[in-house]
Amino acid sequence: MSVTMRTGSQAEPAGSPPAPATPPSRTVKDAWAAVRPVALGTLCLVLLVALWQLAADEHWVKPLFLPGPAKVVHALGSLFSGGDIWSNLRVSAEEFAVGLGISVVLGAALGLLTGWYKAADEFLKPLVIGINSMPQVAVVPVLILIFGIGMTPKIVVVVLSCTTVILMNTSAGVENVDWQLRRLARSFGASDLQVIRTIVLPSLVPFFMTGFRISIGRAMIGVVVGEIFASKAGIGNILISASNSFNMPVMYATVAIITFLGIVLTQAAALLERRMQRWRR
Amino acid sequence: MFAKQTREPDTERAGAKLRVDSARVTYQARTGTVLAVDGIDLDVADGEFVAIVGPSGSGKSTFLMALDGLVPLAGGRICVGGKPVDRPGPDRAVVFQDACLLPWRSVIDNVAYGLELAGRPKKDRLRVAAELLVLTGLKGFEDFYPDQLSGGMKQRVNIARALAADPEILLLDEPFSGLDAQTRESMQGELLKIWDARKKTAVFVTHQIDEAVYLADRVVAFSARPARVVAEWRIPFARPRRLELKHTREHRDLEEEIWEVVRAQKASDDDGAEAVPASGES
Repeated sequence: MSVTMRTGSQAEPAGSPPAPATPPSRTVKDAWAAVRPVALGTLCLVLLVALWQLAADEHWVKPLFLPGPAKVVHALGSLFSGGDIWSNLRVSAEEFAVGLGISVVLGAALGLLTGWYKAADEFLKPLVIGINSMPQVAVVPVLILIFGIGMTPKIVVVVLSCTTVILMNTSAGVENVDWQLRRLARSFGASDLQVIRTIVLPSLVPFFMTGFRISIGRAMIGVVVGEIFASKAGIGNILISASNSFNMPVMYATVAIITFLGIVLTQAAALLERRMQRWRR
Repeated sequence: MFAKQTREPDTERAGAKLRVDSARVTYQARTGTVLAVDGIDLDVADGEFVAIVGPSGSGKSTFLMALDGLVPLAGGRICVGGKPVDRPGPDRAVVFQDACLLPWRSVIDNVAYGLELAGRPKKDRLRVAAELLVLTGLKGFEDFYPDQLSGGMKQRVNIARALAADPEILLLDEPFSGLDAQTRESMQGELLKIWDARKKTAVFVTHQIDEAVYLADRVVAFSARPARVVAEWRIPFARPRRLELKHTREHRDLEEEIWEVVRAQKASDDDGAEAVPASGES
């Protein structure tokens, strides 16, 4: 890019200056710095598995309760080759997606409302604080009595645990909108709707995304715990069935699957969050 | 003591672009209603550059916001081209003190913001914005985000955005007060070049006397709050003005004279000053 500046002002953009040439003696250090995050993390996992193997081999824990890693990996393989796992994952995914979807719509709408109108905030406050403070999984047994053992109680518990988080974050975002930017929009003759679209909503993104990221973990807990309490299908159903029949390798395999999904989804949300805020440095 | 100049009586009342008659502005503070602006008369001719100086907290900025229609009048009248002002309009645009750029928009989209709100088609507004980026020396920075710009460049975007809407009157609220001395000086030169190119009527609020003298055709001094006009000076220097002008004896003498008036204002009424009004959204 060629830029001609007309004055001697410090108009240099804080872009990315070319990296200084690296002296050869440093290359090993640099290479280590590049692989370090991955290398150390992998090392931690390897050590854990080794400890696990050792514990199984030395019978520190009864083999019935703690099978070795090899057995769990084998159980994982048979879960996927058996094919049942997919239909169960579908059920859990649906509960997760519907619950989180309702929470996003409800939380964002009510968050905008409570952030904008003080009266709405005052009206809803006891409900929001109450639901947010109670351990949501504690009401699962009641929900099952009311809604049966299908998907509904799981969806309801996800909505209960996620809506308030998204609502509170969105509401805080509305309250944090820079009044100077609102005044700017007004000075250009913006209507209320234009102020909301061009100033308020973009300002909200980081706040909303924080609530969304937290909600992913909460929604997964809601789904799995709901299924463990009572269910006909789902990843939590496989887990509790295996546990009840002392099929420990399968139980650990499902825990591994759930953990893996949690990591993937949270990372995806973090990636989305960064993409939506590329303007931030 | 200085010789207080008499205000020139109604020489161009007929041709005034902006006419202010006994404008009063009040605002609500915790302590009650505060009178910020008390009966200001001011006429600004078409194409004239008027600078307003005064002690800090004197209500200069509040007055400017009233000119834009962002702050309601408690009395009096403001007319632009004969039409009374009661809200912001496309005939006026503000260059705010903080650059007030939308951080999630690129430079060119920030410049086009006013046109977008006015409903101009995208192609059209990007063309206008691109022209202004050339005028303000920002060519090549179209896709940068505000966080990647220096303070001086942000103010260029701020100025370009106000000009993009093609207002008749430019209202500038201490736009260079947050810049370091060197950048401020070069931005003053830039502003004059831009103003020469576009020939807008301009009202420029500042507490920097040298800035006011260098930029303006006329300097108006406000009293401490509540703001009243205490004196005004015609600035005789020919245009285009070069930065060296600021270091001439005539320039310095005029600065000195105005500074004495402003300082006297501050001394006489220092205790009544409290926080600057947070005008908020109006």
